[in-house]
Amino acid sequence: MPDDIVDQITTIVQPALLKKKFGIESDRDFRFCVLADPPSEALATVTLAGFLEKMLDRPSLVELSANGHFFPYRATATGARTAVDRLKSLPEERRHFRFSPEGLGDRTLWVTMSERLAAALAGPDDGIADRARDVLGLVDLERDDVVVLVGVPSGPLAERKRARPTVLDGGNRRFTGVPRDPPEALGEGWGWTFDLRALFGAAERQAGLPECICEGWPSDAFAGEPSSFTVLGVIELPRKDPVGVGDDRFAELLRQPRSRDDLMAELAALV
Amino acid sequence: MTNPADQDRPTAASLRAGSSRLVKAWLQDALAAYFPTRDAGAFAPFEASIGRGYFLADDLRVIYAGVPADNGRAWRGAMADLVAELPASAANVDALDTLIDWARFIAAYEVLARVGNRIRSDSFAGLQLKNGETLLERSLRMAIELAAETTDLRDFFIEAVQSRFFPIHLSLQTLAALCRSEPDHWIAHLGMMRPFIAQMLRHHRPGREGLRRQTQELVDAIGLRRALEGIHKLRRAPSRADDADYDEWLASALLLDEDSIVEMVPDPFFPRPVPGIVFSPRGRRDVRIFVPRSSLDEPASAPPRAGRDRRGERKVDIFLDYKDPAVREIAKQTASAFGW
Repeated sequence: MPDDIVDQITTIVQPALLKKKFGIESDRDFRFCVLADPPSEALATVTLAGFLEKMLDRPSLVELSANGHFFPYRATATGARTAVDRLKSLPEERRHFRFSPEGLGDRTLWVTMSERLAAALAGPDDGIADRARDVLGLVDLERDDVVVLVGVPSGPLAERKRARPTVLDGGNRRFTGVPRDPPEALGEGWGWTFDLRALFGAAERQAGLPECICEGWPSDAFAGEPSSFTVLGVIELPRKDPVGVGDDRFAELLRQPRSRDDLMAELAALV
Repeated sequence: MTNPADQDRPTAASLRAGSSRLVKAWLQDALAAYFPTRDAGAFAPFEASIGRGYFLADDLRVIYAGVPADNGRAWRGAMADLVAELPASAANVDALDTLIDWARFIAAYEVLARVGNRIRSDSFAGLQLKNGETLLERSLRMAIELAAETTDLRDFFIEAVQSRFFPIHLSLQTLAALCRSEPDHWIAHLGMMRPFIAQMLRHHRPGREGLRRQTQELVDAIGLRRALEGIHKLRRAPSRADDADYDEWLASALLLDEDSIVEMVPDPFFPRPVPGIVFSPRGRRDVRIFVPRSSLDEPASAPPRAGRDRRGERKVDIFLDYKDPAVREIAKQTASAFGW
């Protein structure tokens, strides 16, 4: 099934309705259809800094705590921004760690290519968290969220199924699998994020960065794996535009020149 | 035809606007059904939001973001009731951890208060999480982060310190948070925490920069004026003593190190009135002024604090009148404590 059509349909129809109305069983019919080759490049994911407390192995967490560091969940508490600045200025050797048994959780893992992300974030330090949020299309991140980049070791990935993501993998309201103007052809199993700045006329293209998912983990899959973190900072610029207005604009960008009815008809013909 | 089971299930709208009781019943069932199976359907009608983040607390905060502001209290109340009532057992540890994590995201003090009522229980405090933390440590981290916004966490920290599961590597962070709750009693809190700090210094050996950072946290918590007024009460180490049992770490970072937070300089203008805390332990020619020095950690863009203006230049904005007998007494005792 051409997943770009379903991606675009789901900007209008929620996955639950897709299942109910068209009988698409997300796991069986749609997820992990376009599998990826074994990863050959360094990978990373961006998540909330507070979760580092769960991810870090015990010696790393204790050592950082004893030296006065903590990982704020939100930047709203007094002192949280100072804590973020201190974490940002940690020298590289203090940012290496091994994963705890909790690892990266047991959910679907979303990864991007580390070097491309680094290139996208190059430039002034101000607003780096916002830039990461934008190029990765992470619209659910809210103002005052503290975000961190975590290196994803390739060892555990080799054992699991990897694929181009679809909105049924838990994509947000600004999800795309592959935009209509991908900047280049990637290997099988890679999609492109939607650069949120495109909605505000601040990006030349819709495509943000390459993106791939890996299926959920068995318990302890990451335990002991070496990694490093980089605290990017605090989300300052809200991208949660009013529901409705932003949704329409997003749907329009994705489906052009097709109409909503065209898309619905295409989907109905496929299932 | 509608499934009768669906008719009993609350809708998203009814939950968002629902009472604490309704939300609690739904949340309790959802958590109980979710953890054995990890089935997102347990959180119907919000199942589409489950599985987006790497941890359940992340999904729940996104669901909570859709709750109308005027009903957030009902949801936080439901969370607090569950934290208070869920039996402290291994079967519930993931649910309790998730509730505490979620509460930290949304600054739910209601939950923190109920956690505080349970941490004296070893069965609750000592519950082990997958990453090696105890539930007490996880709760304490939440309290430390949120302590700046409330003044009623004193009892929480005191209960935590009295627990046999108190994580000593958080001793200095706990001290700063406790002092933030009760800045006027910082010397008493320092006394209470001293044995734990000694253990921490011996076992975890924080670096000089780490100690300086946490001293700065303490000074930020109590204010420079209180810090300087209280330094004569620090417990100084006699010679050849094991420094860890004393307050040398604080005296060093605050006053004695080359890059100490407070810098001592002679004042050439004394006895003209000067802004600052002036101690004159040896007469007019040996006046010492405490001038807050900018923190090494602090970025240039940080907002001004006591002792620092917007351009990052030193500026003294604390004034104690040396003619005041109480100030003179403090000066005398400080001079004695520091051997001047």
